[in-house]
Amino acid sequence: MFTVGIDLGTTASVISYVTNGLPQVVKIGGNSTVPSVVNYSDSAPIVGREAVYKYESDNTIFSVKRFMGKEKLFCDRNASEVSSDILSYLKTNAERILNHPIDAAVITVPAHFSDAQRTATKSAASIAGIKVLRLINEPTAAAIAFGLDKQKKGLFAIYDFGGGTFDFSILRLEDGIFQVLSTGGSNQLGGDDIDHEILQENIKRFNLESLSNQQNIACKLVAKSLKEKLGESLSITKKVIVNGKTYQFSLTKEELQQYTKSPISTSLEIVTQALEDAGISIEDLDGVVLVGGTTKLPLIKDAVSNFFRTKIYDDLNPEEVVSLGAALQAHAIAEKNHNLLLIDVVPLSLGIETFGGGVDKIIHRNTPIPIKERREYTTYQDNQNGIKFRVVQGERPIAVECQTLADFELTGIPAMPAGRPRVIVDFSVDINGILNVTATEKNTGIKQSVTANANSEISQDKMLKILETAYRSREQDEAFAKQIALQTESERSLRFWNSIVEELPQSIRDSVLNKMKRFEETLHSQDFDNAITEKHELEDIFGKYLDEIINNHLSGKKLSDIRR
Amino acid sequence: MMNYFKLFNLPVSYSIDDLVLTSVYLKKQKEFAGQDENVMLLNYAYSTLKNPVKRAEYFLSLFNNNVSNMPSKIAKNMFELREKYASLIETEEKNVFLEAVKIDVKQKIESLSNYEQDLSVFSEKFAEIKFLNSFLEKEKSDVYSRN
Repeated sequence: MFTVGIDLGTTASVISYVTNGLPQVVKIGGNSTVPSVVNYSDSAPIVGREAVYKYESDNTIFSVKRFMGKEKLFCDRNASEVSSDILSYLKTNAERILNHPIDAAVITVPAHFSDAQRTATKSAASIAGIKVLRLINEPTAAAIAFGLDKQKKGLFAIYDFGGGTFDFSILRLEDGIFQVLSTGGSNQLGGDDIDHEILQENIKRFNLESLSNQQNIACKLVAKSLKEKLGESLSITKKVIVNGKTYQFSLTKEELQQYTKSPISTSLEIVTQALEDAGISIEDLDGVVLVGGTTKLPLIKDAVSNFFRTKIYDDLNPEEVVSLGAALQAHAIAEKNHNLLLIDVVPLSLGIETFGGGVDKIIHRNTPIPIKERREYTTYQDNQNGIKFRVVQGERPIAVECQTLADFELTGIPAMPAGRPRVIVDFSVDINGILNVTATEKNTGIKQSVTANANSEISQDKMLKILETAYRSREQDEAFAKQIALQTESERSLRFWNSIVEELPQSIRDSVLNKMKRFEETLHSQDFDNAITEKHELEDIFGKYLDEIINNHLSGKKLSDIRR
Repeated sequence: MMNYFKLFNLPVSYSIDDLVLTSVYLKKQKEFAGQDENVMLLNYAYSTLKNPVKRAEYFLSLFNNNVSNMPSKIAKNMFELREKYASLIETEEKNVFLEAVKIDVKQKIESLSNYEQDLSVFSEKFAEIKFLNSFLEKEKSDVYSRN
């Protein structure tokens, strides 16, 4: 059986095969990467470099991978169909170059890809007439390319800095099992941003503001090549011809340093978080695998190796490494001599919206799947006969800013005082990332359940966006979160004070009751500054008597009884 | 109810050997491959023991020692901590404060194993950690969120 490995990437795709036990990239038209771009202006689809140069806004599809498993149509085709044209192109060209028909392939997908996205990838392959042996995760493929799966044990990081996204995973390897310890990433980080800065600088320098789309793409490719070719030199120039005039586009080392500074530090912040999530320190790592074209830049490579100070696996082309690993895995499966087990994790935290709009995180991100967790909730009001649940996904502390996966209501709770019903909420995530939530009232056994795909509602793209937004709007979040916290906390305090106010000495009770009433009104009018002051005043009053009240409660007496 | 410590061939003790935990976990992953219910339980047990705070809570629960009521002495300290934090205005000051609490919690967690012979002390120390953690959860900032 003749097999290949395919890295079906967002910006570029690569196809490889194994010859004499070694993986090898198939160079199509002299290039190992094929831009994941398709143009539909002709009767037959145009794929790759030609499609990039033939750029027309209506008929050219870029980054179709971001829409896998979604409804969206491009030139009357869904994302699987567009991807199938890329796969067909890779297959046909590889068969022509290798002069051998391809029987089957291993195709790689991002570690965060959901069931729906994986299914869409498989169907793209089947439309292209490619038999899929298995879909494997990109970080795993990169690790396989370096033969890490052959090592007895180790702790490895995969630093994947691509054109449009940054992904980071920490994998533990032991006895043929890859255990994902944590993952993280951002879709606002990529080599494209750096190209953009280089382009803008040159456009400004030569007053080239009114470029056509095609000219813009051509200039951007020049900017990209300046970045790639600078290497260790101090500066580099390249000629560009626009409207018959020649311009010398340039890039200096200092400029590139400036453009890469912020992407590097953001990526390292994500790395630090992933290390913390995995509960390991940098020294524990046995190596870091570099993936993605952007890691070729000496500036990035140096920053990464200075940061990790461990073995850097960079002796394979980072643009090819995922595909090479896929080819090795395809070969191993065909030879039936390999069985890798992969333990995956929940990519984003899952929780329930709480009273007041906060989030009670029930399954934290990076928990291994499948997993089951349980929480208990109760009612807020007497005789409340139902509880509404909103299941959310994301890292933000505010429910409205997380992704809602499902809304459901448990009804038919018999009349009981507030706090008496015991509603057990079970969250379970299966091996495919499908979340099932069940709420059961314990006294009566009434039950309600809902199923949501913990991933499919959210594309990888969107997921990264969520993480990114969570990160970017931290500041503005703070004020909002505080208001919600104040509101929730105040309501809780008020309930608590109401329950003990009768136990305060008679002499102050009425004035305290008045203060509580005023506080409630202030809170209601959303006058948060005054609410805080009034809250503190009440806290001081109750605080004075609280210890006494608690101690008397413990001994079964009420303060008012004693005072009387 | 299965005892998680026993599941991983560990003695029922708060201090555990992390290496044994993980190596048994991986071995059982292979053994249970394809049996979703078992893997689910295994993952839950592993996540519980792996995390020192969850492990402490579980350890206490084995002795029917559930930390739901906070000793009033701790409650008072916590109230003061909150007040102090609320009185800070500058973001920089707040971050320094949170960082100090974070380090404090870390040390408290590390020293928990010293008290496992005396469950009442252990439980009190744990109540404090639990509170500080929930305080941090709400206030801390990481690369993805300010909780």
